[in-house]
Amino acid sequence: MRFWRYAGRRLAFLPVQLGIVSMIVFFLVRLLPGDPSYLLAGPFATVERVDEVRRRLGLDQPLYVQYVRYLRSVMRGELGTSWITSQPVLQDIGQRLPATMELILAAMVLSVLVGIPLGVWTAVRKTGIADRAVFAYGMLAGALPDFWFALIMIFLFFFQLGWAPGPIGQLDLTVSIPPRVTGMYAVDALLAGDWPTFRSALAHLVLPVMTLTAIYMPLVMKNTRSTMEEMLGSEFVAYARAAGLSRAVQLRYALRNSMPSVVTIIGILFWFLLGGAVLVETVFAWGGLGQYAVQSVVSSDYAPLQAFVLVTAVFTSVVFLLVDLGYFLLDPRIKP
Amino acid sequence: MLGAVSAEVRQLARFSRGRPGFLCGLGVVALTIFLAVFGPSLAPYGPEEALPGVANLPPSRDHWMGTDISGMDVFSRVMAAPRIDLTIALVSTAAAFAAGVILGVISGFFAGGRGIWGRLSGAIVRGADIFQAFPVFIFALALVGFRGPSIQNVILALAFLNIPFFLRLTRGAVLHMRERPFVEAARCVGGSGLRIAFVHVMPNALTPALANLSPTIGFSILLASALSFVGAGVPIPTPEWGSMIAIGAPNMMTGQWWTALFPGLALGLTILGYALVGDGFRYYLDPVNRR
Amino acid sequence: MSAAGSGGSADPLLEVRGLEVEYARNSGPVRVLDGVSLTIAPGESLGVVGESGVGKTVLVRAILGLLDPPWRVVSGTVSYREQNLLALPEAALRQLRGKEIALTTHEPRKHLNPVATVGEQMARVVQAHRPTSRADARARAVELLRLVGIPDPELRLQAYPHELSGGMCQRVVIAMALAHSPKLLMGDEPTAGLDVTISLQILDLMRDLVRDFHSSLLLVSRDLGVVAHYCQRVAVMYAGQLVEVADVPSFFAGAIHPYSRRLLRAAVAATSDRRGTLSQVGARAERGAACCPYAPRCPLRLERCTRESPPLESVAAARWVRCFRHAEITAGLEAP
Repeated sequence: MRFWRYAGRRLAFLPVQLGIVSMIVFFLVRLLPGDPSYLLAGPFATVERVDEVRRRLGLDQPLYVQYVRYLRSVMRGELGTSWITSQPVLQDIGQRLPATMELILAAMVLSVLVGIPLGVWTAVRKTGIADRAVFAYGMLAGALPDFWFALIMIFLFFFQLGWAPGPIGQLDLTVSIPPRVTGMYAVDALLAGDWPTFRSALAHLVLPVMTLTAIYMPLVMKNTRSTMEEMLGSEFVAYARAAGLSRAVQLRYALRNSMPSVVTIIGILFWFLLGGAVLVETVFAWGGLGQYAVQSVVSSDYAPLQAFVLVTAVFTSVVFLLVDLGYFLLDPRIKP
Repeated sequence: MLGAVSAEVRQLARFSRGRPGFLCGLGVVALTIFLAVFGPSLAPYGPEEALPGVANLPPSRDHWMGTDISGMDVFSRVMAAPRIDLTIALVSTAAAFAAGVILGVISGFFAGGRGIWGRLSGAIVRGADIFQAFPVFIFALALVGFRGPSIQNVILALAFLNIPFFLRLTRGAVLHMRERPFVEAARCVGGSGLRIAFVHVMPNALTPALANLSPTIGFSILLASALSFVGAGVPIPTPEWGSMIAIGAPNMMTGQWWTALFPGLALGLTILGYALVGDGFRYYLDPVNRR
Repeated sequence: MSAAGSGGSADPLLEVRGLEVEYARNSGPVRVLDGVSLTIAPGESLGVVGESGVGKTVLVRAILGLLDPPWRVVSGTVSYREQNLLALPEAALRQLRGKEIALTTHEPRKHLNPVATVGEQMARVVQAHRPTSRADARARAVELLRLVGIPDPELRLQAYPHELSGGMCQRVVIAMALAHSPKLLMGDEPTAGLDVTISLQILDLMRDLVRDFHSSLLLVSRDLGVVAHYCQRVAVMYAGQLVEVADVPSFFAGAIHPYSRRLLRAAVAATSDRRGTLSQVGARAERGAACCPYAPRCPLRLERCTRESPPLESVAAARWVRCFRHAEITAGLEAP
């Protein structure tokens, strides 16, 4: 009951948040040197197209009218047209979003599955070679650039060892795209029972997901470790020990109290992975949103770029909201 | 004044003795500064000199780190790159520090107040929070994307993005300081809000921001390199670690590992060094440890 | 070093002999407990009085083997039923804690798991030493809550610690401590942070339960008045040493040690003498010279007191004092 009250409050605030986000994105276009309507329509646009864009933006109107127009078109799904693909941006995004999601979700799952146990383990056993090694790994992972690490992985596992396929995208050229259910090739192939495609998709997923996980998993690990350390040294765990409760129970108490913080870090992980995905997709020619964004930047295709920023910001806001709700559920002390 | 500085230096020296990580970090920082100043002149070959006929050579005695696809010596370019990256990082971090600290002091000192300053404080914090919805690299990409790839725009984008970080750090420190008796005392003596905020509170609230200067510089170098890697940063022939990695990327798949490996190592080592220095300073400046 | 025991003929339940505990600091170890010896007989209640920081909590934790580095037991024994608790491994100690020797703490809310309900925590304590089904454990929890005077115990099972008042939390802690009818209940400042009426209720409760269960009580307090009312014997602690042990009537008729007399005069000990705690003990440890710890502030100080450490001497039946001038003081007391 109190959850729904809290959820209601946060959900009510979400549109306001998204509205401000959209305002910021709206102003990005104002940064463009020169006439935005020409630039947004692209170098091959006809005069009619430019006029159409200008009408949509309402550049002669006062700023707030322009913003309202922009908001209206966004809600209608009119995010402009990419002059490179000649398709509506919304369509482009729809085609590419699942690829990025596949990457990010896989990396998130792996990072959590490895990071949390590792964090708990290093918090419980505080010294030793293993602990030192893990700490050094954490420091390195925070310093090494993910796009460079991706290249190293390709060199090692593709060129030298020949274990992984080349960075040519999500599937081998010889394999067909599975019928679209989610848009994620591995999932769709699995659902269709198409084993060759499934194997190919999985094989191509390995290197990019490993790269993202190797670089960003320490985030989860370090946070879990420090929270667990704090909880293990807390007074209630000490008292549980004094009351004769076993080490297992003490660990459970500590872990349970660490959960809110861990859930928060998962949200932050998603935030980091979005940025990392852009770079990794570029290296692996993944064909997802990140590569789309980079292409847009490089070829001055502004409509997709603007839409990309909006989409990622909306996604992140929703994820942060979910994290807050999770935190609320896990910590009975928070007031709705 | 000089006495206080030398005493501080001696204390820092004592602090560093037991900490190899901190010392290594300091070494890295010193090296990058040295290379930024002298790198291009000390390099064996011109950093943008494309020598005909020596493309894609592996490391050898003539070219310690090999050559890239255009015949440019990798070692010289690795040595010359810190100038650009460090300039970008230093300028943007300094700007972000200045703006972030000022905004942090205002939003912290007047937090919860009912007047115009109070509202401004709330708005500043809310604004910084909303900006968090944009992953840093993506927003940098957008800023540079809309303004056009150039060094100035990279600096602007990075400065803008780092402001919320320094803002939050300073604000936290100011919120803590507000409760202290010396603030009450200053008020009693008749100081105006702004005066107290900036003359009395700010110097003491600078510590967390200062401690994080070094890691932010490192992180800015990383961001600048990432932007250059995707082609949205420093334009191509200029030596920059990120763009060098981009040039070397196709080579990695055909086995010429040196073109991208060395710039990446240099980048990673640099960021690690700045982070270690930051960790050390954070520990050193923490009043708990200053016994 | 002779143990300050009771005058009774029964075998002591717990005997602490020459307990020395150190705390390792960067600037050198600090002696926190300096040769503490005491005994508790079955069914007896002993009060340990002293200012904050004098080592009372350390004593209690040392008895249960709860001291981890940087705390270190340097020497001494704690005998319970022919076993030296200090030599037992953690697994064996766990069998004792909560079952034979139980502990209640000050600030109970901090010592309870904030994200688990009272019912869950109590059930775990019940299940810790006896295999019990969930339903039985729950029933036992209700029974215990009723025993400590909490109204509507079934409802309270669902509550979280932060939803209960300080007094209620302390009752819950007492209920947990008594779950297995321990032979010895150690109360570490059970009324710290509670207001006066609640404190009296809690102390009455503890006294009654201890009597009903035929357990012994070791009550640690800063408040001499509390000890006077609820204990049969009193031990005064100063700078990690016991300076006087006596039964309550004799003590309050006339304390011998200058510090005890000061305490008696001040009645509430926790105010002006705060300087004389850990730092004093530290000074002794660093100088390495033996002297009476109270010497710097003692109005009856002799030159000898700064050179030699007075032993704990038996001055009457079941009465010990650590002072070179105890005879004169006693004579002074007996003077008309």
